[in-house]
Formats: sequence, C-alpha cells, structure tokens
Amino acid sequence: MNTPINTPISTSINTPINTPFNTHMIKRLVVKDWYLQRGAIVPYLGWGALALTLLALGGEYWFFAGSILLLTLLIAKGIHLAMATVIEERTGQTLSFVMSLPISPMEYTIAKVLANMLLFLTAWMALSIGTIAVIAGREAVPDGLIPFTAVILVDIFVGYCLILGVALVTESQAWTIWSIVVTNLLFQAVLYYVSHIPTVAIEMKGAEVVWSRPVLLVLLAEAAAIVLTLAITFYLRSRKTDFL
Amino acid sequence: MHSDFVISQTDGRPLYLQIMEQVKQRVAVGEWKKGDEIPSIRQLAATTRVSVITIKRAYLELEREGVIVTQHGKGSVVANTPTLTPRLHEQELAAHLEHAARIGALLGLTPDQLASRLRDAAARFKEDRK
Amino acid sequence: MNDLAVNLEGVCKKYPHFTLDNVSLQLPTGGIMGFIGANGAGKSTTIRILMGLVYQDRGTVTVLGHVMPAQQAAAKRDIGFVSEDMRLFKTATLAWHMEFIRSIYPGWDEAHAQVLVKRFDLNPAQKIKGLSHGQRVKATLLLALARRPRLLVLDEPTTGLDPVARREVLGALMEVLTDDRRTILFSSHNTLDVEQISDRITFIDRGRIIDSGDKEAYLDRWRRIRLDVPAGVVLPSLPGAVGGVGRGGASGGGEGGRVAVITTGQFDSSMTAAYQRAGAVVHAIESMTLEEIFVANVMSRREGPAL
Repeated sequence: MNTPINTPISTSINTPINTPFNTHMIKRLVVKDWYLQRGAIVPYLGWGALALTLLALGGEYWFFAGSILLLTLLIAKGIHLAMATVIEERTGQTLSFVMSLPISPMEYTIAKVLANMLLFLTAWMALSIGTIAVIAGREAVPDGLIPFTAVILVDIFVGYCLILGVALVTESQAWTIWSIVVTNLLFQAVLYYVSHIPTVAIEMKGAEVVWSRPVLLVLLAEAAAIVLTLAITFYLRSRKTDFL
Repeated sequence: MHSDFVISQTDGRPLYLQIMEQVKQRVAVGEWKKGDEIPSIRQLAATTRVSVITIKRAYLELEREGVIVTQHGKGSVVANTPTLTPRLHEQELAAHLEHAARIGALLGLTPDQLASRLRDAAARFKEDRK
Repeated sequence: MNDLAVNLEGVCKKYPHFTLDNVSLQLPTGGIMGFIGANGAGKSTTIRILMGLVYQDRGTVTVLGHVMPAQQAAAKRDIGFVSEDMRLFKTATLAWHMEFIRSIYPGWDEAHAQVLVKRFDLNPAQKIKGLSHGQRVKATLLLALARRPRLLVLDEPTTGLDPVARREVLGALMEVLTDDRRTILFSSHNTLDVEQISDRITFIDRGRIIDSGDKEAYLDRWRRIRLDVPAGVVLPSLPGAVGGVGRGGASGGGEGGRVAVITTGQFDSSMTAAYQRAGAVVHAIESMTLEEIFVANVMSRREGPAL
C-alpha cells in the first residue's frame, strides 16, 4: 500500500478497485445524459419522418432527395451526440463536476459510451427500420436494394463509433472535427466500392433480397470495425493519466 | 446565548487577542458570570468565523490568566476565582498607564510632570463623586 | 482526531512547462487548511492529484484513508469537490441538480439543503444558465455542502463573490467544522479569508511547497523590523531575512544614515539584539498580515534575497 517515494506508479492504478463496476453510478450517468439530450433527438425524428415520407411517396427525384436527407440526418445525429455529450463536457466545463462524483475514470467512459449508444441507436433503429419497411413495402422500389441499404446504414454507425472514439480519446473539438471529415470520406469510399461490386450492382436492382458473399463480408468488416474502434477507445482511455 | 463577538481584521491586533479581550469584557461586565458555561471552541469558531486554532490559543491564554477553566472533554466555564475581577482591573489599569506613558513621551513630559497630571486627574475624580 | 484526512508525500508531476516537485502536505481530520500560492504555482494541479483526477508521476496520496488515484471512487463518496472552473449543466435547473446529487449520495440532507437555499438566496426552479456568477458558485457549493461530506476540497471557493456572499460562504464553511470529524482544504487568493479561518496554511510557489504548518505559529514567525541605520554601520546578514533596504542618505551611502526594513520569516528576539549590537536602532517590530508575508515570500524568491 505504501509505494516508496521514488518508484513510479504502476499502471495498476488504472484498474478500478470496485469490480464489478459500480452499475448504480453508471446508470445514474446514463440517465443524466439521456435527460440532457432528450430534446435534441426530436428534430431528428421529425425530419426523419419527412425523409421516410419522401421515400415512401416520392418519384425518382424525391426518393433520392429523401434518401440523402435520411443519411444526412443519421450522420448529423452522430456528430451532434459526440459533440454534445463528450466535447461539450470539456468546453462547458462540466467535466470536473461529473468527475467529482464517486466514479472511476473507466466508469465514466463506460457510462459515456453506453449513453451514446442508447441515444444514437434509438434514432438509428427508428430510421433504419422505417427505411427498410418502405423499401420492402413499396412496389416501385426494388427489394434488392435492402442489403445495400443495410451496408450503408451500418456504415454510418461505424463512422459514428469512430467519431465518438476520437472525441473520447482526444477530448478535442479540433480532432473530432477532423475525424468527421475522415469518416465522411471513408463513407463515400465504402458507398462507391460496394455499389460497384459487379454482383451487388446487379442484385441492387432486382426484386429479390440477396445476401451475397461480398455484402456479408462487408457487413462483417463493419461489425469488426465497430468492435475494434470501441475496444481501442476503451484501451486508450485506460492509459490516460490526466482527466481534468 | 451571548451577544455577538465582533472581530475586525483591520484592527491590527492579532485575532486571538481580540477574542481574549471580548471574553474578558463579557466577564468583567457580568454578562458571563462565574461558573457560566462559555461556547465551545468550535462553536465560537463558527459564530465568529475565526479559525479553531485561533480560538484554541485564546482559550489557552485565558486559562493561563485564570479567566476561564477548561474541563477536559466537557468544555469551558468562567473561572470561580475571587481575584478575577480585581485582576482584570489590574490589567486594565496597566494598559491605561502604559498608554498614558506613551502619550506623555510624545508630548515630551517628564515622569514627574506625568505623575502630577495623574494626581490632578485622581483628585478631580474624587471631587466628581462627592 | 489526529489521523490524517489528507496525506501527500513526495508527489511529483511533470508537464512540458511546469513541474510539481516533491509536494508533501498533511491535513489532520477536523482541521481546515488554506492553500495559497500565485497563479500557476501548482495549487490546482495539487488539488486535482489529491482528487485522483490527475495521476502523479511519483509519490503517495492518501485521502480519507484511501490510496489515490486507485481508490478514487470510494474516496469521492465522502468528498465534496468544488473548483472555480466547475460549471453545472446550463439547461437544467438547480432543483434537478439537487435531485441528481440526492440520487447518488445517501448522506444528502434535504432539510439542510433547504436551509442553505434560503441562506444563499437561491431559487431552485431557476435554470443554471440564468444564474449570475455568484449564484452559480453558491449553487455548486450548496450541492457539495448539503450532503455533509467528511472532506471538502475547494479550489477558490470565494473568488468572484460579493462581500455578503463571501461572508455567507465562510460562515457555512466554519459551520462545517463544528463537527470535528469533518475537514476542509481550500485554495484561495483571498489572503484575508485564509488568514482568518485556516488552522493550517500551506504555501506553494512554482511547484514547490514553501511552507506548511500551523497558522498561528506561521504568523508568529514573521516580522517586519524597521531599523535606523547610522552611517558606517553594516547590518549582519541573518537567516530568514528576506530584506529590503532603503537607499537613504544624501549621497546614497557613506554620508548620512539610512532606513532599513528587514522582513524575516524566522523572527526571534535574538535578531533585534544582533541588529542593536551592530549599531542599528530598532524603530519598530511589526507583525505582518498573511498578504504581506505572501508577497514578501514570492518576491524574494523571484528576485533573490536583497540584503
């Protein structure tokens, strides 16, 4: 218990002594973030409903507009969340208030990731299910579009995890904005790549839902990216030594 | 329970002396009588917003001077010693005389001139009381 | 009563432009320590290390018996921390914050919270963004005080408050100490407040602890000695003197005598004797306020002793 004065502190100080994690406190923090962000989700759902309407009722032009609107909303929601729940805690100087609560830094990270996942996935689920339902329900839109749509929607989630990770690790507005630029470029790249896989390009226009190998591989890669991003985020956060 | 202590940081004198003087004042005037319980160190610290350590020092000095008695673990009371009031007055007289000596020196009076001034003042006081 | 609420030993922390060097600090339970130092001296860093929010490079930190930063979650259950740069959530009300804290800490005393609301003249229904600076500081303090934590760690608690608010806050803090199992550590620029309410004073400058100990003893050690120094007299150089010597005399040394003002942190009656033996006349020996001590100490460390 008594470290001699001149030996450096080992990294074991990073592991919380109260394992299992303090679920009561984590829950309190998640509820707190939910409460503070509860209003922000409304416009996204509202405009999302408009986007779904365009997808459901629009001709080729309006359908396309609706799809752009939908994707933009999802991407924006992710950015908004990362900024409002993570970066804002720094710029708004509420971080010291939260860190003064009986939590370890790791519990803070867990709570922040959980709150973000819950908040983001609420909107994401609603809009994704709505989109798939519209495509499936509408005669004019080929059902073959569904696997491709799934790839794009999951890709947005991957991008969000990346932005959230950068925000949590750097706690810097500048770095987070750069990560938004990078993830958007990656998003465009994935979009291009997948839509140009020969088999996928054909199946997209068909009436059948085909979960072909390339599509499944891409989805697998996206899932792996999500897990990897979050794992790296937690790891890098655990190595932090300055929290204020 | 007791009239408010008022301490001043611009007074110039150390805080513990101010506390001591205000305790002695209350004892001399009869607000705190012999055997009366006086506020605990921490209570007085809270009401005067003065550090516990300063109040402690004041109480220690007051005990040394015989003004109060501290019973271990039970707080402090005004001392029962019959010499208390005369002793307080002794101290007051000493302080006044010192002050008079200082002013006399400023005026350039010799000790004899100062003493004669004091005799005059005492005589006048006796006259006024008749 | 004599166990330590806070114990830092040999704490070091290195930043690119600043180093905290071998910081040691002891605060017994039931006491209140005033932590003073110039801006950038290391007060906030030390406090953050104490709270486990910054990990030290070396040294041990024990707060309320918990090793920091490893046991910070447990320690923080009993610590109320308020720092000057701390903000509450703008869009929420004070009442929401009170409920939030109440849901976390079993020690929350609702009756006491209401007393503080009245005393601090706050309106719980008001959103934080509508509060003035002083009201916000008082609100943050209320949240910490109402749960009656065993240790209060306050970084500049009265900065920016009007005199009435300051008095309220100091009163609330001193009230905390009527319970001798509760302890307070606060940093402040306001040397008047520190001088008045602290039991112990710790003085930090440029990342090093200069002094740490009993306030009364500390103030007793410091004196300002005014000397009349006749021509030709050389003053002895005495330990602890962080002097200032006037340049009196018509020709600046040699002809007339001069006035010397010696400030010392190790006053002893033998000093006056030494100066008198050297031929100087002691004009006055003055106590110094904490502010004067603070300035003299910092200035002498920056300029080097000028005797």
